[in-house]
Amino acid sequence: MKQSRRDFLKTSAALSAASYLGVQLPDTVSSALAAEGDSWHRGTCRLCGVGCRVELGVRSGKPFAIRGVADARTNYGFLCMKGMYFWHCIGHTDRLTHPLYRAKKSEAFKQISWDEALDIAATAFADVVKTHGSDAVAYYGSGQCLTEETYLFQKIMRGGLKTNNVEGNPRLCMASAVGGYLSSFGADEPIGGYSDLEKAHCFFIIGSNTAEAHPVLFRRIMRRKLDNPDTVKVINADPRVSQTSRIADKHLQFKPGSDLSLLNAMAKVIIDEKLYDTDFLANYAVFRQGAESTEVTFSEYVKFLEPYTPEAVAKICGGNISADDIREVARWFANSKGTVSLWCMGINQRIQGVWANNLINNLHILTGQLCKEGADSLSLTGQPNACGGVREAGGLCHILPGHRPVDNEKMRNQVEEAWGVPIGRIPAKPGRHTMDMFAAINSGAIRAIWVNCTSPAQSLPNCDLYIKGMEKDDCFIICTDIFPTRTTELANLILPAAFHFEKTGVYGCTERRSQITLKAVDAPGEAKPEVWIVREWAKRLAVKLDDPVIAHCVKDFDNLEEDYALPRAIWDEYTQKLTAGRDSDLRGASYPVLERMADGVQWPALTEEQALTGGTVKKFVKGLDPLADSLSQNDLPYQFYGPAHADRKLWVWLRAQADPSEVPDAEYPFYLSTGRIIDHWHTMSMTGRVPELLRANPYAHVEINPEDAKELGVQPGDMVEIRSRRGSNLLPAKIYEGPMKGMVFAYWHDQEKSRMINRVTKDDYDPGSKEPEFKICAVQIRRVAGPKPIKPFLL
Amino acid sequence: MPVAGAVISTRQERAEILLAALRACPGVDIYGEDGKGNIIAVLEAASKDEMEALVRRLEAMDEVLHVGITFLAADGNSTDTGSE
Ligand code: SF4
Repeated sequence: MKQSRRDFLKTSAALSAASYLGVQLPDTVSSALAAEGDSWHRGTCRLCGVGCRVELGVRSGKPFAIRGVADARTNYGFLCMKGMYFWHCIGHTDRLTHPLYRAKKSEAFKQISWDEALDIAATAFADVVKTHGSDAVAYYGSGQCLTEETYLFQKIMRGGLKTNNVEGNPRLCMASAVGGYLSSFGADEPIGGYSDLEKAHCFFIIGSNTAEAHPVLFRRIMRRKLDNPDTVKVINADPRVSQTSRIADKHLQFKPGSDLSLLNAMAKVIIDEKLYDTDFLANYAVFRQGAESTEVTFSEYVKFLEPYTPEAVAKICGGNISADDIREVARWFANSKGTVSLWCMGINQRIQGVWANNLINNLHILTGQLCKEGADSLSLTGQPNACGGVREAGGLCHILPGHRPVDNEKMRNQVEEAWGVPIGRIPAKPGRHTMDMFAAINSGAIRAIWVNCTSPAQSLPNCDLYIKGMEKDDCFIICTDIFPTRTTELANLILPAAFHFEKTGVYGCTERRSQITLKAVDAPGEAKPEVWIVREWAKRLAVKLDDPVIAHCVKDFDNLEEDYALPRAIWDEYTQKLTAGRDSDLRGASYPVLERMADGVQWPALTEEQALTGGTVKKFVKGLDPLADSLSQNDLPYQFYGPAHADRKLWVWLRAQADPSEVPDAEYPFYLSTGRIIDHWHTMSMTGRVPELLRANPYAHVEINPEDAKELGVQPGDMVEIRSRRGSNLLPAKIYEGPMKGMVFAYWHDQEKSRMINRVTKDDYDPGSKEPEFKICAVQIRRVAGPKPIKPFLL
Repeated sequence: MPVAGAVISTRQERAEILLAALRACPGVDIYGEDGKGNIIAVLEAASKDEMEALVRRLEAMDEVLHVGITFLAADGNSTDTGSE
């Protein structure tokens, strides 16, 4: 049945109101609710990093509905449409259900048994290790894998195969936030969390379309604003007016890439008008600059800010920003009883991503808008387990489990001891980061890669360049996934994985909160949980490489059934041995505790007793954070014990404006930015298979500012070519006062080749975080034809 | 054309009366209720200002204790309405 966009919005509206009350609507599930034999299974949403609590309804072994739960601390029963519908992926007819193999990429896939598949996977990796060395193999995972999966994969790669070539797609979205937190606060991940939203008096949302990318958190912000229209201020800073802007008291529309100036100008107003918190700065902060983190004085910082006058910066920012706007928002930020900043890919996906993060954090340090109720510098996470799995459990090439840097010998030795592998087994050199990893496939330096639950052939910037390498037969590609993707197209071996609620494991969301989802239904066909796949693969690898250390890496997990006992044993090893004594201490959050705690546990939680209170709502605050008490060195209420700052101080950084990697010129006169739309998620392999979501937005389009459209002679629906120095797309135009003049915006979800916007984006990356600059590149725009019928496309 | 999802709250014993009044309101569609006085409604209006006016009218109704907006969307332009 055809559903118009308007019908869809009405259904969305009704479902959102219903889920707020925990009520099912008659046309979805209410008749089913009363039926005998229904059971409801608690877990988290499978999609974004908000981590909404859901309940999956199951009848006769099959899911039939999902619902929010009104008392859930993450979402209060509210779910977005994606969250409402993701369960349709369970049992979907397109699911991968059997291992598939082909020796050459020009051949067709053949169905094979698990026995054959695991043997082929082990032989492929073992042969490459023997011929080309350990660093010729790689693992590329995802912020959607369960923590147990990421942890076990990286253990086999580092402790077993002796390589740090362990990466994950959070490099593409979160790495700059990691760099920002470590260099500003000395510790990764936010100090506070969502509970600050209901206590905040000012929201500073920059580089985030929260309304579409994190809709449930947006609802909490919106509620706070609507309940307190006069006393709560919302500032939205973004080159594009989006759904998020609609609740803003002020929208600052700045030219792409000028945000460093804007943030420095806000800091200058705070200094010039003496809005900073003198005591907070004296007690907790120092000022630093440069690659050596050289300490400088407050006066030097003041001098550094001199050029960033509101008048000068208003000119740099262009758009609708006046000097008085900058002054006004700086005052709101500094003077409010509690300010929460929220940002996402607009800040992170930049070649100055870490610097931009630092400058947001600067504003919080200067004004003391940290550690108190309603105040936080809160980086929004894109994926459900980018934090819990990849950042915390060792899923990046330079980080071992428990936030340990690879290049620190003491830290490596701690991990080696915990695993019982020989000291020196983990290489001292960090592995290849994501862009380097795929460049190494192009150059032939990486000969075998395991891609788990992600689709780099669509999600890498400038993807055509990297597809060329992946297409070649000299790199053996294994993919574990639930649906065909642009990357499984390039694989030699496809292994069907169990989906959310078809296996057991833990997700850790944006606010340091770990929540368990237990298996509720069987996976289709022969699909298996990844933890089983890795264990069985490792056992064969040990034989093929004749290496007992690899066998030792999975010895404690042998013979455990894969639905509960195996992930529990892996979680126990990770939390008890690898988080002990670290800032992300999760020893108290055992499986039984997580099963009891409906909302999960926020780390640090050193003991079960602490975990059973919910863990730590605010890090670094004595009386709230057990580590702030036990590691206290003075009488001050806040103790910044983060592992990266030996001086236990917050660092205010001197970071100057710097241009993006590519700016428009005469040949490529427009900025291109990319992002999400509310109905879809990432490469659309899941949401594209939900008819209700697909109908709402069946294909990508390009948003063009009306003034530009007029100059270009583009009408709504016209087919428009977007061309960069790397590639082109052909998209229907949406004429919309969203992007500022001189800028266009496209969604990155579409799998159809002529609409895959990452063929156009640029692959330069931040030198610190190695996160690419998806958000800014220069393009030409050209009307090619009038409106054409377009079909949605899915592999 | 904004669309909003709303929870309209009243006293449990007044729910039936309020439901009848809401059904007569232009721009209000009733989708259900929870038996405790909370009514699930979808609101439609021609503009943002009219939506605000509609919410204010609802809030001013005798039986209404609170109008809680749980969803708010502006319609996109007509070129991307999901035609297959
Ligand atoms: S906001 Fe994110 S976590 Fe919550 S329901 Fe939507 S997609 Fe799921």
